[in-house]
Formats: sequence, C-alpha cells, structure tokens
Amino acid sequence: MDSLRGFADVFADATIPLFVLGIVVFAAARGVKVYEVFIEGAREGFDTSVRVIPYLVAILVAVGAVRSAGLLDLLSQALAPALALIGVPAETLPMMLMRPLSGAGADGVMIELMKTHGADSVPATTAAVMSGAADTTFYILAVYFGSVGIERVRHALWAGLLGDLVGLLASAWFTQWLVFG
Amino acid sequence: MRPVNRVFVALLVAAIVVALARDLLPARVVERAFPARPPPPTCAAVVAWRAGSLHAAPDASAAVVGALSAGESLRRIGGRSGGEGATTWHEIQRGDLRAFVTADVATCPLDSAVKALTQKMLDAANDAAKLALALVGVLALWTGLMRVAEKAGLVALLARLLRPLLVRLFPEVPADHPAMGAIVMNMAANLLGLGNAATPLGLQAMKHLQDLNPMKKTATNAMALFLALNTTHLTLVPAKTIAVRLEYGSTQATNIVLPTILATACGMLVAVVAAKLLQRRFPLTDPPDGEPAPASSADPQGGA
Repeated sequence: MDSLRGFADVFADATIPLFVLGIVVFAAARGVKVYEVFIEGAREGFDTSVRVIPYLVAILVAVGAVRSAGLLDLLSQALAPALALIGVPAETLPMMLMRPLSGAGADGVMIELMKTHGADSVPATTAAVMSGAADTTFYILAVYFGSVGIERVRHALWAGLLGDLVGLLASAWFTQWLVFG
Repeated sequence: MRPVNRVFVALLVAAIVVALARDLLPARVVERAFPARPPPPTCAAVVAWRAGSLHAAPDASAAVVGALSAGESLRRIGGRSGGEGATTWHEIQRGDLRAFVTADVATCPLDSAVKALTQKMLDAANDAAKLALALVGVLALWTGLMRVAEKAGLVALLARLLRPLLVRLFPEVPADHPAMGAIVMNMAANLLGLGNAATPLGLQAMKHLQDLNPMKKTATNAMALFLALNTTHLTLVPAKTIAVRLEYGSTQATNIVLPTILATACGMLVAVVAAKLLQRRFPLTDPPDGEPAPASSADPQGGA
C-alpha cells in the first residue's frame, strides 16, 4: 500500500512536466510551428474562460443561495449516514447531483467546496476527481441525438447515467484510498 | 437544456423562499426545521471584521486564538484567494488581526437569513467573474499545448492505437466505414481532454452512424454505446481541474490524476457493459408515424 501511494505521488508530481515535454518534443520533431500553433490554441483558451463567466455566475449564485438558506446542509445531513456507509463524503452530494447536468455547474460546486473546506481537503479533492470521472450526460445526449433527429434514445441515457454513478462512487473510494489512505 | 433550466429556477426559488420563511415564520417553527448549530469559534472575529473594528475587539482576537489552538486554519483577507499560508502565532502576537478571515463566512450568523442570502448571492457573482479571469492564464497554456499536440498528429496516433479495441466494441459498424473513423478520432480527442475537438468529431460520428441506421428516429445499439462511451470517457490529464486546484491554494494539485483515471475506467467499463446488456431490452423500432414528434433540438444553454 505504501509503495503504491509512493508511486502515485511521483506519478502525480511528474505528470504535467512529462506531458509538456512529450508534446513539445513530438511536435517539433514532426515539424510543427510550435510557437504559432501554441498562440492560436491559447487564444481559444482565453475565449473559453471568458465565455464561461455567465454560466459560472448563474451556478455560483444559485448554489450559494441554496447553501446560504441552509437547504444544502439539510439535505446533506439527512443523507450523510447513508453516504458515510458507502464511503462517500456527504459534502460531495451536490457535486454528484450536478455533474451529469452541467459542467460549469459542477465546476461551481467544486469551487464552492474548495473555498469552504480548502483545496486539499477530503471533500474538495473528492469533488475534483469526480469532475473528471463523469461528464454532462444530459447535455451530450441532447446535442448528439438532437443533431441527427433521434427521438427514441433507448438505453443510452441509462447506460450513461449508470456509468456516471459508478464513476462518481469510484472517485470517492479511489480518492480515499490513493490520496488520503 | 431543459433539466438545467428547471434545476436553476428550482434552486433559486427554493433558496429565496426558505430564507424568507426563516425570517418571517415564528422562531419556534424555524428552530424545529433548522436546529441552530453552535457558530464556529471564529465567528466573533468575522462579525467584528464586518463591523470594521477588529483591532478594537478583544473577544475577536480571543476567538481567532481559540480557533487556531483548536486546529482550525484561517484564511487571509485579500491577497490570493484560497488557503495560502495559514495564520501564524507570530502574526497574532503582533495584533495584526485585520489580515484574517475565517474559513466560511457563510456559516456565521448574520442578523437575518435574507441578509445572509443577499450577501452570499452578491459574493458568489463576484467570485464567478474573478475565478474565470483567474483561469485565463492556465487555461490558455493548456489549450495552446493541446493545439500543438493536435497539429503534431497526436490525435491520429492515438486513434490508430484505439482502433482495434473499438472495432470489437462496435460489431455493427464496418471497420472501414467513415463512422468508425469518426468514432476512433472522437475517442482519441476525449482521451486527451480535447473537448472542443471531440464534440465536432462526435457529431460527425453520429451523422455517419445515422447513415447506417435503418430507422432514422430510434437510436441503434452502436449509437447508444457511443453515447455511453462519450458520457463516461477517460481523460488522461484533468488539466482544468488541476488549474482550479492550484488557484485555490492546493499544494498537491496533481494527486487527483491517478484516482481520476481509475474512477473513470470503472465508470466506462460499467457504461459499456450496461449498454451491451440493456440493448436487448429496448425494442429497435421507430415510434409510429402518427405520433407527434417531441422537440429534440439541442439547446446550447446546457453545456460548457
């Protein structure tokens, strides 16, 4: 277990530099104009961060209002024993509910958790893993099927949501085991 | 998309109605529904800070010291957001209390629930803009790098590796059909976290899958599986999340990578198995012609 965690730490520390190194060397070797292409892509990142502001305002205000009114605490408290039983921090419940609905919404919940409990706390770390472990199933379903006029989605929604649920639960377990174990 | 709209309206209405109710209903009723929790010891400091008189508030100073000795970490006002630098004894002894704010201002009682709600909503809107702007740099770095990777043919390379697996998962799709090509490219883009590239490729794959579909209004098994794969797709480096964690003062921002990969793999496996098992239970027939078609157009409001 200890050596596994040691590996996890080293792996986690080196991921980004190795990734950057790999991309830049690979691209240069293939004759890509790395600088020009980078600028072009970075501009897209800038646009994305600005475009996300309205979504973020909506979600942060809604989640903040619900939290301030005490509703979220109420719900989390009610479900905490059940969640604790399966090893999921109760604070991440809003994250699990929001993740399939809206990506920006899930970001909002994650940020809220980081602000409240600290970025390296158990709930915030779990939420961060959850944000990568599932996707906006309802949105993808609507866009993908809507684009070709499919009306009967059959089992697609259930398979997707089941995958999300397992991914979210597994996030809590793997975080507990590999990060805080 | 509609569910998001409903959730948004419901959350706002519920929050405002409950906050109003907490202020307007008799205290006895409110206390039964929302049992008052003891405020955190740091609340005195927050209240004094709000009143702008932290220096002149001896009980606030005592509260900060008490909270620290109880192991609570306090956050600073101003400067970087997030937990950078917990308050030190040294600073307390200097009496420099204005530099502190407690972990969660929202849990400290204000005069009324509605006042707290107002404050929280305005703060949240402010935070949203600040957060998005704080992300500009890291996000630009990431999308820039990924564009380089894309131009270098990394997506195509990954696609070559994925093809043998995907040919097996989609037995209904001929291996040399354009649909297979688009599926493979979409999966490769998803794996690299290239959301903006993955969606157009995914839509292209849907178009080609629809060409193979004899029914036109009902999803085929291949379409359903493709959807399930897309909603649970593996991401090798959750770069945006790492950026947000760094911004909020994480010292181990990348330690989420391995758990994320493993958790996603579990979700993906379950989604594939579920799609394969469930496909027999759902009839492969179009709705009858006379049936009014429900609106199925995509609403861009839902995503991002």
